[in-house]
Amino acid sequence: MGISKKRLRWRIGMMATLALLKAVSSVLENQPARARAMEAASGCRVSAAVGSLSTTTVRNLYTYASSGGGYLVFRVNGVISVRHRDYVNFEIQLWGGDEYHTYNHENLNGKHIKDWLGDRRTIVFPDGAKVTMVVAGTGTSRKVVSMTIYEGTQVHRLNPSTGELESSRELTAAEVAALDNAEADGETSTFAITETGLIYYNLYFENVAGQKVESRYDLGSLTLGNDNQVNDFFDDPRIGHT
Amino acid sequence: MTRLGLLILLGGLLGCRKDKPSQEPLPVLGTCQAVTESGCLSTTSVRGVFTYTTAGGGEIIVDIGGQSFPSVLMRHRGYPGFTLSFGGRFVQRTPRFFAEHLNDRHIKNKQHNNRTIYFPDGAKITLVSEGIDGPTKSLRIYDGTQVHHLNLTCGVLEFSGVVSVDVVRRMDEAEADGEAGGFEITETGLLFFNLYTEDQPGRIIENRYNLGELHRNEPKKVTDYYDDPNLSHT
Repeated sequence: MGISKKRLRWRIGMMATLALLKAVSSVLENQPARARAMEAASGCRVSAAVGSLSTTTVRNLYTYASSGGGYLVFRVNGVISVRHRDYVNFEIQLWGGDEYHTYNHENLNGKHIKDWLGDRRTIVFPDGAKVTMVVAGTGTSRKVVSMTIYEGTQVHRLNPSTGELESSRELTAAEVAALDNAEADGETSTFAITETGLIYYNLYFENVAGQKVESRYDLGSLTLGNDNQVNDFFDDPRIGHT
Repeated sequence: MTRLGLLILLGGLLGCRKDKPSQEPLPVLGTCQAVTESGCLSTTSVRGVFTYTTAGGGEIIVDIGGQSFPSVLMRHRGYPGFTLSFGGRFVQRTPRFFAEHLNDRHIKNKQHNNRTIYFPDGAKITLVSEGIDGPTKSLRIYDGTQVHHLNLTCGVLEFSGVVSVDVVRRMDEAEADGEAGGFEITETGLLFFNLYTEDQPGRIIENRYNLGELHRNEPKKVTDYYDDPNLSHT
């Protein structure tokens, strides 16, 4: 009888834990919808953010702050900016497109370094947070179709063409890693803050999920104290001025 | 008893109509002491990015966190394809806003030290600069009884709150609007115009003229009505 009571208590405990987890997960899952309702009710306040993602009081502007100081500012039909708290005079900007925005041009502090080398582009922040963008279509119908941010237990997915925040969730680290692994990163780069400045460099290509081809080379660099100087190490054969 | 009640009610109503200036102190600004956002202002998870939504659907995005170009974007929910942007450059991390674009077209550079834009609902934004090409020291938003003040020299939100009508008026009156304009959504599109200049507080010189226009039937067309004498391409 004593054992069965213990088992009963354990079962009740487990059921309560599972119910709590489910409730928390449901709240997190429904956060954007709840936030939209709040926005509609109050006129201007909105806080749909889960984790480090900010939606704001205006449409189509998202910001993300990674745990180690990486910043991402995304203005729909505008520019995607990659910045870092610890290097104020640094900015990678992804921009451009034809009929629709594809964000396939890459600037380092205003200097056009290169264009994307494929349909997928990933930037990894020094703390491991990463953002992956995917472009699809041909000719004038070519447009960016997804932008996903992965960091630790957070995953946020946007449709950059419409500005819709498709999902914004906190999961287990294993679940986020599984989602990340299921999506090919494409051309993948990162940057490192050094004692003398900042270096922006390529890491690998992953055109098929799980098949990474390492390819480390420098794209550009900045020098501390000489913020207007941008060193362009990449000669994009398609663009005369890079 | 009924008369007495009416007198008390009338007295109460008259008592509410007090236009007399209050002794309420104005916010102390220029301290670089950050305050918490309030009302319709949002700070974001990224340093230097602020947004504001006016009561009538106007939107403001202030981005002074990037390296490349500081920007103040103004949009409106009632005209999704419209952006009025003030851009410029950083000098020792202080932004200098001078270039005015209607959508992607460079219409003009600012002509006075300060620049003010009115939204159709009466909300207004004023940028205060040291000289026409000098550093922009502050950005202030007035919307009804909300006032928000960004100190751009240190990138700090110094004031954000709801104050009395009298305090709004006194703060507004103490700050010259400079070159003041606005925009209106029309049946055929959107009109961007200037209204007056106020280089010293209280000295308003009315001068309304059109700067640019957008057209609903031709979404990519931007008509530039202003010939900036200092810019050959406008």
